Amino acid sequence: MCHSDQHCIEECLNGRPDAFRHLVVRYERPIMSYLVSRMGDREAAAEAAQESFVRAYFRLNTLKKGDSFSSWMIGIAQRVMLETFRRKRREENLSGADTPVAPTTDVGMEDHSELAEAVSRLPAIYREVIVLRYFGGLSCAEAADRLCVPLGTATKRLSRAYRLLRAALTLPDGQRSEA
Amino acid sequence: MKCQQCNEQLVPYEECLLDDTAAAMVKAHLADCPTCHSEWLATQQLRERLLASGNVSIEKSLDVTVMDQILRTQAVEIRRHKMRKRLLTFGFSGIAAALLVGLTLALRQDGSQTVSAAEILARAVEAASDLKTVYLKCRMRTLPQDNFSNLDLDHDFVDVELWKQYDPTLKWKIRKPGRVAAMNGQQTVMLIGSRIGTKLDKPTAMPFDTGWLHRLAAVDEVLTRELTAIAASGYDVKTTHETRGDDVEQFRTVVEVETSRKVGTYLKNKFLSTSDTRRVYVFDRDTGRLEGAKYYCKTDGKEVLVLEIVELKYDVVMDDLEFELEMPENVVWYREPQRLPDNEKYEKMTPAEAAQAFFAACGRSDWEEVAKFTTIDFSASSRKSLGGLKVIQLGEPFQSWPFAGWFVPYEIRMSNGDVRKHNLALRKDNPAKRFVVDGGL
Repeated sequence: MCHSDQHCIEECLNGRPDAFRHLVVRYERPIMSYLVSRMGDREAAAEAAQESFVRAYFRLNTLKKGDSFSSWMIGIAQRVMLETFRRKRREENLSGADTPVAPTTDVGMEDHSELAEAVSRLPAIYREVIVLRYFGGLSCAEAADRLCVPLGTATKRLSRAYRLLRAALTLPDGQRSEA
Repeated sequence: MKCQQCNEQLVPYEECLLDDTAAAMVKAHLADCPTCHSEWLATQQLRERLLASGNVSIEKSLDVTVMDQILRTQAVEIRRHKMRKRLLTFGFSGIAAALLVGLTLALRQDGSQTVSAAEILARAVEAASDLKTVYLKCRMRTLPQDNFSNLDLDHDFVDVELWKQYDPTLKWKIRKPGRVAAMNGQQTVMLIGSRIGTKLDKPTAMPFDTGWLHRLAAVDEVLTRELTAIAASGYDVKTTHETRGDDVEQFRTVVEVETSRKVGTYLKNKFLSTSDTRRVYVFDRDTGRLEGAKYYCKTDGKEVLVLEIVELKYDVVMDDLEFELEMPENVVWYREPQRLPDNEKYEKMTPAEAAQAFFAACGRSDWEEVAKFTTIDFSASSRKSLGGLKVIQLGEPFQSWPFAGWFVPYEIRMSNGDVRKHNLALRKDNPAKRFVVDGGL
């Protein structure tokens, strides 16, 4: 975890909640991007992102020192999203609606749910570099800096993450490695 | 630039992190190599999908609403806390304690998620990245003196060891009973038995048939391949925790992957690369490093343990002398077949004709002619055993992947009356382009 993230978390744990605002601003884009990709609905994603940050704040003391805040946040966002889907399903069952419970996609918005799910299933060290690079819009160097790892380590992790994602998505042109 | 180097440079290339020279080398390789080019295109497609999925703009920051909700929730929590205190005062301490226990258990459950096989493998990949040296000892069912890669399911285990230095200069040594090979940074030598030697006057990464062991020692790559296979199967892998005698908890990951390549029947289960295997990996809980592995070969409805990594040391100091191999004075050197004055005659031979001509020369004890089909000079004992042989019959030549040559079934009667029945291995991927014996005698 970067010193700045760690510093913000320590501040929060020491009774200064306003430090959490920095973490929200820093990570709202990756979390929103992830949730929009998976839920396909911007408004629902915004609600889930908000709920995720609030839950994260009250569970900051469970985040182990050294663990990545961004990867941990994605885990929380994923749980909130699944709860949202379950709640929606229950509501639809109660109302007798005959509509599918799968996430809907906003008009004009491409469906990235399969990709986002594959990202969410990556091991944490690969998920966090993808989240920062693509959902957070950071450069590789910035992601390495945020993760406090050398640039070479970040590029290797990115390379391995691509391999796993391609295998999970079975991209047609990809050569799946034989183990 | 080799494919592996290109592969390692692809992400830095895409991210514009390479200098002009390195970028030009990657670009040139991509233009020349269809495999790497398609790899690059596939990654490009993925990157485009990732970029598109991450292209979400934030119109209004969530910070105000999040902080408002945090403060409101905190206020509610404070009210609840006060209420709880009142309840305790009124004698409901038992109920409150039960609630507290429940809450604690819930939190504990939340915090101690089961570590998945993928997480364990990913951690082990990281722990084995950028190694300077690795020492690997395994026991393997193989015939002593036979090829390094030979598997023999009916044979007992023999030890196979690898010492490898990656940094600052690549050096390595591999030893199994009756066979040792070493590369000291300048040249590569191999000693088979006590007197047959092979020398390459250049450093090599994985010559002869040592590739499988070098690949096995590249722990990060091995585990990345397993991770990739797991990802393709939906991350469905068994993981168990075990405690050794010294109370060190270990993770045991069971990975099951079937060989998907089309393998020739004759060479099925003769090498790891031609076997259907189930692999079990064991990891150290504290360091996350791979500590051992077992490879089970699936054959005839049963499983046979064929290889076990019993020792794995990372970044140990290795003496340069470790990579020097002293050859005996009476060494018989392997010689690469060179073109003969009448090379065309041999070049035109079919596998069956080459086998026929080789055995006929042995039968006549014409060792000069025999030498045209071999890469070493036969010892006195080999000459005594093969001289005067008679061919009983030769079968139909066949091929079996991954061997690049041909097998010719034969039945011969030796001069002492013994009958030998086997498959003569012949290959012609040499500068002289004529068939030479590569095993099966």
